[in-house]
Amino acid sequence: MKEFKDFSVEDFVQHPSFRRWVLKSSEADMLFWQQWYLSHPDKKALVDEAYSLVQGLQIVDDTHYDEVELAVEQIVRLRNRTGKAIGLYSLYKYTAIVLVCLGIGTTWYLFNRVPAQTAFLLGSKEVEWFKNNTAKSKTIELSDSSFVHLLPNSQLAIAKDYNSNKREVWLKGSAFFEVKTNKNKPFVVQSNHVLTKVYGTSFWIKESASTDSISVAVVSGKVSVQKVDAQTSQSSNEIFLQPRQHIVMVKEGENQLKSFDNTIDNSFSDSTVATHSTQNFQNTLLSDVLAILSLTYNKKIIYDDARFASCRLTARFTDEHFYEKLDLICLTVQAEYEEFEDHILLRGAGCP
Amino acid sequence: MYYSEFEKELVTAQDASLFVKEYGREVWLCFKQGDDAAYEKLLTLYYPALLNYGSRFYKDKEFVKDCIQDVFLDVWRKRASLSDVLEPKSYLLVALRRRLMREKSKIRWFTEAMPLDDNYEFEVQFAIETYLINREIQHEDLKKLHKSLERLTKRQREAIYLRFFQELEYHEIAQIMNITQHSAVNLVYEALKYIRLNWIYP
Repeated sequence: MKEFKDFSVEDFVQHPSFRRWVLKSSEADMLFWQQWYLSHPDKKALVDEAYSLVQGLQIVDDTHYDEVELAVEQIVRLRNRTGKAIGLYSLYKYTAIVLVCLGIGTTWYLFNRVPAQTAFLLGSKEVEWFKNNTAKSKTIELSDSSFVHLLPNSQLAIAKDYNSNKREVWLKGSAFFEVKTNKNKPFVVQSNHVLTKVYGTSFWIKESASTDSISVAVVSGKVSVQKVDAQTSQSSNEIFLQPRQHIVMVKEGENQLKSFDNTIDNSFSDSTVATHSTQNFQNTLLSDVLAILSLTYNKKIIYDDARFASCRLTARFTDEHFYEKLDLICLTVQAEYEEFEDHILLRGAGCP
Repeated sequence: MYYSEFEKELVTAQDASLFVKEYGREVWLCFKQGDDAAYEKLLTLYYPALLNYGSRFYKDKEFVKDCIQDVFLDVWRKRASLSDVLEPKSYLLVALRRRLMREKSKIRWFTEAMPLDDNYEFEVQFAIETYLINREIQHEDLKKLHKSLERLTKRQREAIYLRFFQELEYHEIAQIMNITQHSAVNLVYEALKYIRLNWIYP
């Protein structure tokens, strides 16, 4: 194994840990490399070059995740049609295999579930509690074949009317969710100050008591998160997350949006004046939205008219700051902005 | 057994990436055994990667999606005879690439006789063109870097894409591009060397 001090620029560019430092996706790696950089001044030129290369060689993820959902549904439909003739014997075989796949967790669910009498009210909702006070994770299968893998010291409450016209659960602690796609019945997780809406997918929700934050990481599918105020029950705008995106929702202050490996590091920061008018955009052209924003905050916004010509936006802005609004707009149309002295430049691939 | 990985603290991106890989393997195993739900999970997990990769070769998205659909339906039909693949993602990428090349040759048989494996394009967009740039890199350097990237061969671009965007190991890249592991390593290193030579970093 080559030592770091014998690394060439090309070696650095490819090393996973080095990349995580440059792309700011891992605290541990960032600490290590910052330290290494300072203690090896003779390698400064090498590292600087490798650093720029890693940044410059990042590739734009232009995948449209909405298309993915539709395509997957179609394939499943076709598969169901072709795979129909299942004999009785095969059916038994299938059932047995499914149980094996689910593992120990299923047993826990079937035999240890909290009996109906102990169901109680969460606010005004009747729920059923599942608590994991063991040292291992437990798998819960919900009535619609969604799975929740509850980590130790975590609790999940399921609405009694789960799978009626919506699917509501409450999470205290951490869990990995595998949600069955059902566009007509939104799957919603309430965890402390964060409300996560699911559109058929697998994702993580983790609670951190030390920093009073909730992390949501998407493995597949699409998810939206919003902050909820406990007192007023008011919720912020929905922030949509794609696979490999991970957001840390801090109770008070800035959220941090990251990618598993590629960096998209937008911090919603506190800046200047907030307007208190509500702006409601329904499938509005991006150009119109930007024009209004530009006028409201007296900032010049420049972008490629042709590229963004077909972009439309549906959003409801209340009292976010200018940069928060800009960030949300950028997230929606998959663009990035750069601030210059007298204007803001919006860059992106545009919309299909 | 099924989800041993996620019992650890998901703190770093490394854990997250490892989890996704481990999860993918488990889903593949269950799907192979006939688990219907696992098949759907497999689709949701890998469809985006296949769509992104396929789009590098063809701008015609519908054509790419048709090919991906064929790959997944094929995989479902053959599930009983599939092996316990360690890396489902690269398995699927190999299947897609083969299908795309085959389809392409059917369309273009009447044109010049070019070696099948060479007759394709590979388009990829590097972030410097649209990304929020770290202030350390000056604009002039970026323009030079951009020019170098444009001059890479399509194989070099594909190797870089598979290595840095799809995060694949060299043996996986070799499998997908149908080259030796040694060639895969060279492609990436050559590409990096070329970029460096043509972009004099101050």
